[in-house]
Amino acid sequence: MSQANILDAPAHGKGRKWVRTFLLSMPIDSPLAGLHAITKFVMVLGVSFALLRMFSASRPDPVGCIILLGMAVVLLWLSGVIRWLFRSFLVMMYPMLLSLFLVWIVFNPAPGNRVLFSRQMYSGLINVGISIALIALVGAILGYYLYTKQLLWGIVGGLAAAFVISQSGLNFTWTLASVPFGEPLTLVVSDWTVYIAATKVLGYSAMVLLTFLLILTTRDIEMIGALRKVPRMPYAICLFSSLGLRSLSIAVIDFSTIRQAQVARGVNVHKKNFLAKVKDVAYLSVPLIANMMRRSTEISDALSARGYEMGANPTIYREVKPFHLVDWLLILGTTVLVVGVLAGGLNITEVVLGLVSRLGA
Amino acid sequence: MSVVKIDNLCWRYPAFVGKMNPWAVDGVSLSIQKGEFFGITGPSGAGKTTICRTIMGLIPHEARVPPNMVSQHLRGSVEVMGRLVGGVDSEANVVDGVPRGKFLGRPVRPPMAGMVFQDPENQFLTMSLLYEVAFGLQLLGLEAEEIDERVREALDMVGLGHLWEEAENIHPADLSGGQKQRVAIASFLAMRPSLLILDEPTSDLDPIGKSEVIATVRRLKEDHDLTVILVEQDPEILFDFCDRIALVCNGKVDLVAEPEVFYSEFEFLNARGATTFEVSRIAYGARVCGDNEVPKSIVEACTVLTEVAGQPTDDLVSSNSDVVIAVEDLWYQYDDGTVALLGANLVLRRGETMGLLGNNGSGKTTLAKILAGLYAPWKGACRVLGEDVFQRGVRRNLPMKVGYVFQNPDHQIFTRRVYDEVEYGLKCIGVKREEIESRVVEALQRVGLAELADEDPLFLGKGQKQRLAVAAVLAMRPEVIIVDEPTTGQDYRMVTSIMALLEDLHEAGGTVLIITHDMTLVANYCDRVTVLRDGRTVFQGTSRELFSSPELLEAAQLRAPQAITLSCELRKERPDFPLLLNEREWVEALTRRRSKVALGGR
Repeated sequence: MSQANILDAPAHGKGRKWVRTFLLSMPIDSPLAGLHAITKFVMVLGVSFALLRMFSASRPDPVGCIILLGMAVVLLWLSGVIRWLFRSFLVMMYPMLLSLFLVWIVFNPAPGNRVLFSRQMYSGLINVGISIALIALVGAILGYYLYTKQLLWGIVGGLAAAFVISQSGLNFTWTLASVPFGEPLTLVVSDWTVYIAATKVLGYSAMVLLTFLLILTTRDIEMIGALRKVPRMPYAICLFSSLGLRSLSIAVIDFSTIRQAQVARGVNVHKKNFLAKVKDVAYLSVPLIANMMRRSTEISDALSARGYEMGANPTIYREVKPFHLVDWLLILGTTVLVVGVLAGGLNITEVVLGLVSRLGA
Repeated sequence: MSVVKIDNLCWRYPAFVGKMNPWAVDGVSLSIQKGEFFGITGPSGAGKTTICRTIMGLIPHEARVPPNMVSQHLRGSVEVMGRLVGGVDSEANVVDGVPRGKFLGRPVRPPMAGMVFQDPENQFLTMSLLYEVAFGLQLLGLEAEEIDERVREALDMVGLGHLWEEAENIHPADLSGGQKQRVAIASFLAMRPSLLILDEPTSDLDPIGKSEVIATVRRLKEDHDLTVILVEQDPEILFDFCDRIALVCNGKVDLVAEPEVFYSEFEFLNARGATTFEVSRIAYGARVCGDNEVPKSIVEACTVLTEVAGQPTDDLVSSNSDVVIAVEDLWYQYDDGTVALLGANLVLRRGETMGLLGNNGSGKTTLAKILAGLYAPWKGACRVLGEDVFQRGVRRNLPMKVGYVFQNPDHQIFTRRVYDEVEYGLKCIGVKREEIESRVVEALQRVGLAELADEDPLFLGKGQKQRLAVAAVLAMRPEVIIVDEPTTGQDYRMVTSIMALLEDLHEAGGTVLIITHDMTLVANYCDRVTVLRDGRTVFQGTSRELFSSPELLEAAQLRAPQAITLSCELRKERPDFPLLLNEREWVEALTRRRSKVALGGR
């Protein structure tokens, strides 16, 4: 609730401390608010390219990924936007990264130096038949659903029962037919797959956080200002891309009111399972989309009433900001990193390991 | 010289499915002179906005009319400053020997003309107040220094000069309704157009702010030879500022006259759903004078409406009735540190209708949202139905007991069928299936939407949507209903129908809290009022107490409606004159007097 509150804080009185960005708000004096939009964009893009190389399977660089992830977190912290991000958006990020980790391990059977765990998951044949574990699984889910009208814990319990039965050796199975389908799949967890999976998760987290950082600390004015400095960029592109991203901030504002209206209708009165909560969110789409549609149909009238025509070329007011020394330094730093990693094959982990072994010797 | 010349104009909006729409504008001819302040009034859906859009040339040039249907959608012509803006050549564009017709003319653009639309929110284009006002100036090709100067001047004109310092960092969506409308007006004033069209630009402003803004426009007109077209409902504004007024009804212009003549046609206006003066309605309702001699101003009314009898009594809920809501020294702080409530007090008893008043940004909505369990209070005491709102569990269950009707119905429609919409809340709070149907049908009947049960709510009119929102809350049978600004931007008929609905609720014993700055609504329906100013409660008492003290009204930045101003004016001379709050009380007192005179004469 309180996360939504900032979004509709009234704008009265002097001394505003927050300013709205494409997504949510940032403190006015945030250090990133002072950076040029181009600097921010180049940094995010450059670091992302470097990260792609750093978590490649051939030469993973976990230390490099950790350093860049740390940098992203520190920047979020400095900009004062980290609270909102952690409250609302990271909830979705954890399961995403966990599934990434698992998928990587399952589909990349590399033996490495030491195999930690190896098990054939799928033999390449589909068995059509019945087993005690299967009965337990289906029975648990159905039974739980009939009694409680809920699914989640039925599935968890059923899976646990099926696992215990299949491990206990009491899993009597009657196979009716075996149909060959697809390739056999073996789950191999070795030190090497864990190493790569961890690096990938770190790298992707850094990329996601940096992208959030960009939209959490940029406003339409900065973007227009930056785009208009690009030679021969048509003004229509500057205007419509900024209008597009601006609608994101409008949607965030609408969302908070609409969500309140939904709470006022009693959606939170009873405790609900996960599926019912997802359904509640789906209901929000009707007013959200209706409002977006209404706005988008009226925007062309609003533009022409102000005198906008295709091919217009308005004067520049205050939107173009100067490049400061810090902008140049950051762009230089990013360039060094990208060139070092992509062309020079820089791998911070290897450098660190080399240093450690030299010190040991 | 006429700036706008409309000749026998007809227009219908293209229909994408089914049969053709009826004419939205049906044979309108108007001529507006240079330097004129021209008013347009009439009920919603009469075609006022459509006329304005044709003057700008948004119609027909921005409307998506199928190319083979051109002459079925537009007839007649519009000229602005001698230039053709809209017209049709039905013989042109011959395809296979059949003329398909072609639109003629070009839309007018700033600085020739500018138009402020009804809903300011949908005409904002940037995320910053500064650039919002500057956008049009940049398109005009002005240099940065001049833009600075003009933006500053425009903000000063609409009374937002104090926001200049922070203008760059303020998102227009974060401003209050009244401030948004001021920004929208400023963004056109800055462009200094020769013709300025204002389409109900002040519906969200409190009465004082409203006349301030229009007075500024009027002053500009005098200084810069500006021509202004103002679409408005409020007769006081139209009467005070316009040179001529047109009444638009069912797509036709029924009357064009100078204000004095215009508002004398009382029966004519009333029959066509135009808002008339409260004093006119009182005099006419009590049969003190005939149709063409109705008083229009307080001064005129003072000479006619003098003989009354009896004292009005307040039909108040007794103080023994149990307290439903008790708020004491309540504080609330938003996450960014803005303190919205700094010690609010409020006591609401069962069966009462209370008005929650205050200027824009005074914390009315924040307080109401706490009472509905939508916000968690910071400190102080707040009990709703005896339960402590500081507890999360209590807040979670509040929606079952306190219903909240949001200001904008578009934010609270979650389904695509009227019936489902009312059913939605009932399902959420777990009403038994057998009971749901009867409750939905009952609620829809109460708001008069029973016949539309299968319609898609997104295609209802604004008034109907609002009634649907009320029905959805009524069906949940809450003990208290909170209604946020139910009458803004609505015409006289819709306001009357919403008021009748609230009155019904009150008669049925419902407890109602109305957030509003519509003083007529307060004078007519609220037993008690609570006035907030800058997050503090500055007054709690009956409506009569509030309106009997001009100092209090001034301190709270409120303005009394005509009926009350009139009784206050008469009380200056005759202190024993009763304080009559509204049309009903006036008519009763006047008729009582007349029957007394008749009896005495016998």
